[in-house]
Amino acid sequence: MLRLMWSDLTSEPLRLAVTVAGVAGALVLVLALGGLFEGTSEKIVTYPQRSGADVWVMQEGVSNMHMATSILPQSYGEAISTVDGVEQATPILYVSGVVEAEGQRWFSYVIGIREGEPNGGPWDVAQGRAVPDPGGIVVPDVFARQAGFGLGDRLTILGASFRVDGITRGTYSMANSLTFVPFEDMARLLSAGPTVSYYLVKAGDGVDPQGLATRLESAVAGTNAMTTEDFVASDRVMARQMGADIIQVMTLIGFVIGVGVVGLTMYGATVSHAREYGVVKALGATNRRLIGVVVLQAVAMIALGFGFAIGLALLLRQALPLMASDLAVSYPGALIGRVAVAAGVMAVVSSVLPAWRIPRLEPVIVFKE
Amino acid sequence: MALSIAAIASVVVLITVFEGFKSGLSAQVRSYVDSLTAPLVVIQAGADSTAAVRSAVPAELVQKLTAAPEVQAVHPVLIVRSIFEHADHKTPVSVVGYEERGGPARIVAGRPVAGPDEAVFDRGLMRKHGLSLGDQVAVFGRRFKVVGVSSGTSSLLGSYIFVSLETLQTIASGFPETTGQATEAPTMLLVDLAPGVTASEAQIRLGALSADVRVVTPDFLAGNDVRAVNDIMGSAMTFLVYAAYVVGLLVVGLTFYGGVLERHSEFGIVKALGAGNRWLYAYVLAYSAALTAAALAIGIAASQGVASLIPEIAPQYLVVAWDPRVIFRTSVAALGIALIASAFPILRVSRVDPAMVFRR
Repeated sequence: MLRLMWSDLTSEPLRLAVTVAGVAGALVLVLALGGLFEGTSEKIVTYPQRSGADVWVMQEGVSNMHMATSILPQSYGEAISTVDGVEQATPILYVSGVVEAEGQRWFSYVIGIREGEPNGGPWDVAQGRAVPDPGGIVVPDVFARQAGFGLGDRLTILGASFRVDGITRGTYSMANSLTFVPFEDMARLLSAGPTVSYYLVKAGDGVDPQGLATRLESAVAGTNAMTTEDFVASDRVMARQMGADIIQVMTLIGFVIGVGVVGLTMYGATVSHAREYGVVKALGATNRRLIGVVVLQAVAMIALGFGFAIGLALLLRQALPLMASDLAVSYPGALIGRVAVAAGVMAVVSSVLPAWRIPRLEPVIVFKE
Repeated sequence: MALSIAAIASVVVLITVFEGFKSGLSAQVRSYVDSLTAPLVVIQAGADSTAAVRSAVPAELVQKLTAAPEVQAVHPVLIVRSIFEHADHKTPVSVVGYEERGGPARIVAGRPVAGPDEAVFDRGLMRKHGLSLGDQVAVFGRRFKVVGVSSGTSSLLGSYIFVSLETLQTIASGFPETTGQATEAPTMLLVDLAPGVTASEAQIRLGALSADVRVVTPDFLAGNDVRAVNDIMGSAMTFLVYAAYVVGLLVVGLTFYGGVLERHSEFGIVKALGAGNRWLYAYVLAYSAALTAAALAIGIAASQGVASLIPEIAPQYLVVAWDPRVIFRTSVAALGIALIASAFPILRVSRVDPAMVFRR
């Protein structure tokens, strides 16, 4: 049976190659879409992860940063700083905006920060300053590379012109690049008055962040306090949920294409090998054995396609950032597992049509012209 | 042949869905702003869209504008972005505070907002979170009753929730007793013009009233909203569309190749009778074109069904499969793919040995 399966599979190498390529293409599509959302979800949480804070304090009812709005009075800083276990409380202003320079546009988180604050600023400065001077701005290196500007050049954000004071690394992404401006400049642009968006709280040595978050919420009315770990998880969940439905739809489309590709090939192969199957049947092989051959062929094609899809997906992960620097893909085990299950079901479903044909083959076909 | 046509039709559906998804995203993003019936909109100077960009118009400007002879009425609208969380799901939302204008253009169930603790939710948002009319939900930590359901107010970037302007201004100002700000400044002002005043002349005159704002048309805003989304999603969407084309190429190539394989004994006979490879190539190309044409018609028809099914599964997405530009792009792509994919069977046909006719 295995010999027959292998012989049929390799009798038309070009057809096998194209079938495997078709399956790999359909599965790569599903992996790429899922990977894009995973990669973007990870980029979305870069700032909270790298901010240096142990606890984030925000407006009550808010539990995210991405696509969220939080407003707190500046006066809350004093109340927060006096809570037991707080080493430092750094206020930031935050809004989403478009940065424009040399005809290029980038969507960005704009963070208003103050000189002298230990947390909340960029963590890897390639050129210039980490915290901009009044009228200055600190931008990702990818902006500078794409638009060809450098330190001292000017760009526009929120309708105002800023001078480039610093260029940073690790702060660029499709969904939320990070741009830093002086706190006071931003407050003026936003007409923010005496408010802040978030307080980034650093816990003292040996202080448990979860306990500190609980104390902060109790001590300062109208706030929500979350450990950085919980805050990051909240944004990550939200980002993933944004893509969950469309990933479901595209997985279904990829699945249908995979079934169609393999089913079509298997059916064509079954028809073209009708004589061989007739001979085997005449020699005593049961329908069950022949259906087993067909199913094994489908499984082999899908398995090969899956293998190539994983290889292509890994290649994509390396190549994509070189082709489009704002894209990143990530393949967690759950995503690969989901695609593997879909591939398995694909193998079974695509065997149905050719398997339906097998019992209808008459051994007498051997003697027909 | 039926299977071959079905396979190619499925590729047409795939490409149409991806292209239509891209077009649908643009249509959805501009839907709310397109529904604003005011001829002019006042926003903060430096802002050029409502998507993901903040705008705050000085509240004192309302009186100044209302007093202008070109203006019949001014309607403030406040939009605040947030994350709506309910039943273990999170969705980015734009909460719109409005009075008479700037609310949902289409209410498919219930009624508009009439009180401070009432809200109109987008239909897709309702479905995603399992909500019904009359439900009590928390937005910004405050309880609202869902009194209406809107449509055309959702996209990949989020959905809309409509509440009263006064309520949202109170929520958004945060802590008025501490900040000293009574209410949050509106995001934009919708301007109705006096009879006989054209939008172009009013735009110039009203724009001169304050350097802190700019006066634009809803179409300008909507176009920039689409541009902002393309800035964010453009690379990813383009990548997915190209990936769909590559998969399509492989499937179509496989289909044509399979068709040639099934007929290779016939090709052997034809070759044995004296037909050259050129004749066979022409046959393969004609065969491919005919299959593709038939599959195109079926695929485009089927894609309309798929496009209407996707919002049922994922309510916040819109696939514009009926757009003539989408159909044209898909048709050109399908024919181009058919031409390229014919290379596989042509390669096969050129190797057919006429002597195989005589073999059993």
